Amino acid sequence: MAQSIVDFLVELDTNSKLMEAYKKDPVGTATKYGLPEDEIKIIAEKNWDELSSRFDDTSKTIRVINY
Amino acid sequence: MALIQGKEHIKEGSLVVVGTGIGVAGQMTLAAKSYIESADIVFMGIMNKVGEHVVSGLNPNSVSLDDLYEEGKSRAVTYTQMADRIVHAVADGQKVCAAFYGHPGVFVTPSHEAIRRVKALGLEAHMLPGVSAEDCLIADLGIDPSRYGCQSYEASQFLFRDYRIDPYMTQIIWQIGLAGEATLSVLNANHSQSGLAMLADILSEHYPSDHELIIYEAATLPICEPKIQKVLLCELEHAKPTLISTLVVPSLGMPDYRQDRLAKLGLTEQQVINYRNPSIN
Repeated sequence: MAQSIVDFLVELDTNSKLMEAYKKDPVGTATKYGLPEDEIKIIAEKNWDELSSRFDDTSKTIRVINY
Repeated sequence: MALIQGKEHIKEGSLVVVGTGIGVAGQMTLAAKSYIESADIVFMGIMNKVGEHVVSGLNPNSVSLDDLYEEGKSRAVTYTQMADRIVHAVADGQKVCAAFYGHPGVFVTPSHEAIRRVKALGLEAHMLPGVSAEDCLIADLGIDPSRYGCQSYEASQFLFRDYRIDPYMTQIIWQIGLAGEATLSVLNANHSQSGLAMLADILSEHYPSDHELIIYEAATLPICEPKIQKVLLCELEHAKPTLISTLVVPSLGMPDYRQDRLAKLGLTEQQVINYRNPSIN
């Protein structure tokens, strides 16, 4: 069963061994983790804008009024 | 309300405000994680779905505050409503955790407001530190804020008020994507052109036009790199910042020694230089 890219990102952010493996072989590590093909394609193409647009909502980043 | 040893015990609410870091999970402190896990309810201001997933996994009773944002609505109202939600839950007797991305006390109006209001009710409230965007900037750019000293401020606040730049200090200017935007009602960086032009004019009074600046964005996802764009000061007004862009203006270097102050301390410039560079032999 395909693993979620959300879980992959969390694991990468908290597991230094997985991150080191990913840095050496991004596509191989993502494939071994069990990501589906379309998400491996994002990694292979380094399509970070697609990834950011999927998960980040920068319109909701501002939280301060100072002036 | 619960009965403890025959006495009526009213559960008192409390608030802890924590930061989840700029990344999705790895910058969350052990203490923040523990408070999230043990809260009756967690309010999230995280803006990243992976980060929300992590917090919701630690505590299923987690609700987002970000639905309160609306294009055209003043963020002043949004932040008051965020604080309202948090304070009402505490007043209802719940053990509340408010989790904001980054450091919850850096560039976050509703966290400080909620703590102030909960304390005014005579209830417990405190904040834990977190990893801020400035912390990421220091690590990614290799800047030590103590090297030249540092002035760190929000772009619009700087433009609107009578501040002074010390060009010998590193300038870290936040929220340049909203430079000069006073209405608080836009949720994009399409209104910063005139503010950026004014900022460039002010910087030009202190730095040469070919001074190299950095427009920086921290990475939120672990497989993405931080965005580090170098621009000359003369190009700044044409830059296209986002809402998470920060401008770094490197120092012109160390200023001259103040001979009068050294003399009052019984020192000479040469003595200070010698103390600072001791010979190994």
